[in-house]
Amino acid sequence: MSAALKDERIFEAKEEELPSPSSTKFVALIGSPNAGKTSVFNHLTGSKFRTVNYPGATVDYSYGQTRTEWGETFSVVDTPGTYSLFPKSFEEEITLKVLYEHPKLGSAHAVIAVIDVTQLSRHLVLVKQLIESGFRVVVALSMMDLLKNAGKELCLKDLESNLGCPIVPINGLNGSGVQDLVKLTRKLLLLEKAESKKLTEWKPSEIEMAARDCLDLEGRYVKKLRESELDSLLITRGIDKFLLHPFFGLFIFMAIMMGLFSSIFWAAAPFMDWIDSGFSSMAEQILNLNAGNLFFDFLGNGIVASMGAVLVFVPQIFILFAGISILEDSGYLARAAALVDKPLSLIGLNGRAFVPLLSGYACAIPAMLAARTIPSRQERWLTLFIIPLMSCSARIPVYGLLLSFLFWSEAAWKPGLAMAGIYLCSLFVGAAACAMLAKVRKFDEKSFFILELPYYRRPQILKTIKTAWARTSAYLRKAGPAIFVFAVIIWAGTTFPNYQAQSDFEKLETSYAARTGRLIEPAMTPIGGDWRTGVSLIAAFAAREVFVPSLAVILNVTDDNEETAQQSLLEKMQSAKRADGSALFTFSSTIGLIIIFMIALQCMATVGVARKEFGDWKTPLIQLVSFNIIAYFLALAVVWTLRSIGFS
Amino acid sequence: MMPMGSTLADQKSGFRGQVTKVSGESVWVNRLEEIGLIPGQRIVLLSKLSLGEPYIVEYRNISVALRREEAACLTVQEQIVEKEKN
Repeated sequence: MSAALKDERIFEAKEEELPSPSSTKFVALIGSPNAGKTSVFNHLTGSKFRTVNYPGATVDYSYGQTRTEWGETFSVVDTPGTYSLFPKSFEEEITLKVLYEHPKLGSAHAVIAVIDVTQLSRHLVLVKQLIESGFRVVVALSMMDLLKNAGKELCLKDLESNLGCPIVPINGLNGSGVQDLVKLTRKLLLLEKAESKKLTEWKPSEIEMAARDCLDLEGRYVKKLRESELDSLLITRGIDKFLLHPFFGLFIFMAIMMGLFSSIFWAAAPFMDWIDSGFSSMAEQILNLNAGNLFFDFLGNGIVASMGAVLVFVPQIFILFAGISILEDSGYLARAAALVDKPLSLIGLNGRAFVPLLSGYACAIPAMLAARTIPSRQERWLTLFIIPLMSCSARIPVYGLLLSFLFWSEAAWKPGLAMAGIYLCSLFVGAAACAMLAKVRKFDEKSFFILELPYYRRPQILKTIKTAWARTSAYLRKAGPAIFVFAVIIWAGTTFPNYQAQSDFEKLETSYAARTGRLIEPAMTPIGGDWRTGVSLIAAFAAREVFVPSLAVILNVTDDNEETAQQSLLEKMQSAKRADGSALFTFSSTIGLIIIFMIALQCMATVGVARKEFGDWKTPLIQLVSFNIIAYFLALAVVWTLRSIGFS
Repeated sequence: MMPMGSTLADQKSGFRGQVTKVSGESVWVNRLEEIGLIPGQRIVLLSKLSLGEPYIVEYRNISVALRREEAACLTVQEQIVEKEKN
């Protein structure tokens, strides 16, 4: 028997008479994946929660206060879904740590176990484990309406007295029952904290026994009123006939992903243009306020321009995560992971790596955060390692410029096709790198897939927007400061010491960045570049797309008209000569630059986030050094080969 | 008749039967049992995905995707007639 029902007086007490629960006490929300935990959490807290990082680890969980309209508030911690108290993945370990030994909060005072009544026998096993550990538990029972529709009925009181803990039916959609849940939980918080102990891992025979007990409970307390199956199950089975079809399934999957992927580009484009031109004109106006003044230059070219560099990716990240959230809520994302598990397993990954890798095509930073759901350490490590190789959207302006140079005044489909070729190439490079690394870096653990496929459901718009916003703000918080700081450093490098120069060209030409460019010129020469490409490559460390404007400055493009600026940049690129009189931008040297941008890790914000995700400095530094060295030597090899077979 | 001791990995799509034994790699065995795939559980192999894997298995109102090697942990027996009930 749990202690929960023993102290009857507490349960009879009136709301007003209760003392206020101490602020350090917290309630943990525990449940199996797909049990409806998150919607209970959202109803409990309203919008008053924040996503926090577990100290020393990289798994997020949500921490919030219950809504004030339900009286005295208390703290609730949402945890990653788990099937048992014997963790098998990184995320599940965090659930356990929050429960027993949170470094700031201590252990949970009470537990709300969320279980899906249509999966009663399976989900009760976790409740039994919680009770056996000694926690004060209240069960929140979701999906009661589904059970009713299937002609079944639960003898709630009997189950309650059998388990020895209170059960509250709740409706995840409209939130009914949550108020009762709050009242009951608050009462548990007033009881003395029960001693909780960690269970020693159950042997298979013990798991079997518990599972059989729970099956027996379900048989005893769930009455069949008529013979029928769950509507959701029938609908799901019907949809899966198509979406998981052995032949068409993969085509439908590709169509859905192409749709999502292309929407990152075309749907986000107008917003990105808007942000981009907004910040450019703001920077310009600031510069015009007091031309030539260092402070205003810092404000305009340093601060405002770097803020633009951070914010320009917000539309893409928002759209991508809104799309992923819709797929997740509808139940398709689990199927997508199943569909690509086989091909990904060939290069040492897992179907769950799919979302992070896809996100990498927008921006590596949210992609790395998304990799947290991968249960195996090895697969997570591999995914994190190759994410920077996915062609993020900051590379698009660079590819755009270089391809328009290569295919100048040729049919428009040619650069388009070449762009698709670059994407395929980067996918291939990533896969090859991953397959090789999988052989080298082995963790001592067994990978597993075993993934539950939830029922299909209609996604909720509000939840989609909330999730997408949460991801976007995570990007802003994590990437923003790093991109910003590096942008300011690069600004200083390209401005000083000759900041009072008459023209931008002169200023940059004599700057520290240009000196560094000349310093690395011996390395640039073999790949067909000179100090000017060197400077632009250095500037690209602020953000890759900065390559384009800095090239324009260093080649002394003076055309301020946006329409014709690209044209004059292309003309300057055409006529630029190296010290020995040969052309700076040839076919081979341009291809060399494309290869560098395809592989090199230039984004310092990514390195910063990678440090947190890997949990050490070593791995991201290895990434930084090896990707850049490999990029250089691969570019060198290709340039040399192209030249030796007769290309300029 | 199917030979004794054949596993779910060897079955064709549409297989109906019950689990008789769960054995193999302990992480897999524990997780399979935790999600309710215990001896006596009736299951249906709904399909195998495009590249032969994962297997889509339905039991107790849900479906689960398993890799071939995970399915190989489940020794199964075909349900020929309605004899046993779990």
